[in-house]
Amino acid sequence: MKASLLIVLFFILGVLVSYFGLLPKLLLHADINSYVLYLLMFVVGIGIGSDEESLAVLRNIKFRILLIPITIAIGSLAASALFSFLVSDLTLKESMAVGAGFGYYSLSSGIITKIHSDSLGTIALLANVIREIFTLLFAPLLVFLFGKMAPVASGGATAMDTTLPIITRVSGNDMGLIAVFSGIVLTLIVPFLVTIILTF
Amino acid sequence: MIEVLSLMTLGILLGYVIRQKKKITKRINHSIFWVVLLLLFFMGVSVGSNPKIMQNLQTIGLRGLELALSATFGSILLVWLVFSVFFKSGWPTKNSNSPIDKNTKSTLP
Repeated sequence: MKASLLIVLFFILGVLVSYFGLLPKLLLHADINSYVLYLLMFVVGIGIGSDEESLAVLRNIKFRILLIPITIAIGSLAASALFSFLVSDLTLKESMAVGAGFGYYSLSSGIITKIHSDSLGTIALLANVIREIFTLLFAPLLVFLFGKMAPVASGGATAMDTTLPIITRVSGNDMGLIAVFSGIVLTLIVPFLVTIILTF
Repeated sequence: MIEVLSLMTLGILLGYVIRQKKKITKRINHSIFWVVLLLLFFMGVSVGSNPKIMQNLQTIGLRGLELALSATFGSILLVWLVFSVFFKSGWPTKNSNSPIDKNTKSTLP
């Protein structure tokens, strides 16, 4: 939670310094965003490729277990799609692209900012940070209401790292393994899904 | 957008090649956090200099919250429906059907 708050703080800091004109013009006009996003994609890729534990997890996929992240993904996408019909200022695609972040706010909001707009990128950042914080705060309640798998569903992509400790605490260690697996699968599909939704 | 996905794929391949060099991969993994901070800072910069967004902050914040709750509860409810209702009796959570083999267990917190 500390890390995600620090990240939001940096975002707000960026908003403030540019809103009050404290930055040199050079930093405003240069396409820095894109370059930093490229750098992030590259290092995230290295992180994934060199992560032998994740590779071992993926090698042992069983189809029945794969149903969990697939169900989580369909649930998020369907509900986001339904939401777009309730409001006039979001299209189906925009709404689903935000939902396809599954809590992975840095990458999803960066990609959405790059291929769509700053405003949708900001919505994606908020929506996915809120998803993570919601999971951290309400995991015990979710288990009580919807069973042991609910915090895994709520955490989405974050179930492999930031929300894993709370999931194992409230759902048990056996659910922790499923959480890691589900989180890895969702994390891997976020960049592809977001791009595909907004491009086609 | 091809460049973003191909950079990531390139990173995955490179990461796989150097996966034995733990010192380097560890350092790169730590750097991800700083790159995220940098990215979010510059996203903030472009948002702050965009009057259209700054005038609509309330709507944008509200949509963020609404979409967060929609997506989160969409996942929770569908998982609940599929796994508690359809697979009511036989959902495996015991060791026998663990998705991960035993030698990776010890690495988890």
